[in-house]
Amino acid sequence: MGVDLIFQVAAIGIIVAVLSQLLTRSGREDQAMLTTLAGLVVVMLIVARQISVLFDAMKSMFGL
Amino acid sequence: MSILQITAIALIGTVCAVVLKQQKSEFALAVSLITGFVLLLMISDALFNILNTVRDMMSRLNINQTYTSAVIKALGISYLTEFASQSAKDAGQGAIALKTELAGRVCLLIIAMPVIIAMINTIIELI
Repeated sequence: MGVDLIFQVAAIGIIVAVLSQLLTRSGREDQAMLTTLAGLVVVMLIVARQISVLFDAMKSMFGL
Repeated sequence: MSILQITAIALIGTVCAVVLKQQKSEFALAVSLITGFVLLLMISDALFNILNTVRDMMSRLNINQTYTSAVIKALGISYLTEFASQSAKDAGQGAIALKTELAGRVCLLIIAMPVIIAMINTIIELI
């Protein structure tokens, strides 16, 4: 909880950035785009899970 | 949660977001969102205690229950709209940020409507 979440997302971002650079350099632009999309989907899943946790807390706290 | 942890996490999140900004800016947005969530979650339990004490004080002053819940709901709404519009502005989407703020103001007005009506009724009775 907390810092390791940030490091997870940052690590995925860096890995995907390196991979897509690698793929674009070796001439496979389409696969680079696909890896970027895959990394984005994974990151969005993590963010979505955290959003639901936060919004439940807010709903219970403020009675929204 | 001590302020030291909070500031440390905020700085770490900023550094990660800046590192990711050059290659892939969508991940920088994800990192800034996650940092925001983590910070909000860290202070949510302290906020819960504060809100409970505020509710107790207001009920002891026998202020009407609808006004207390209106005040706390307004706080929650502005809290969330501020969070969403700031992260949208951070990502460069100024238009979305403004729309969120407008929607937040409308929600606040809806929440405040009964209080305003009650105030106007009392004023009418005075005249």
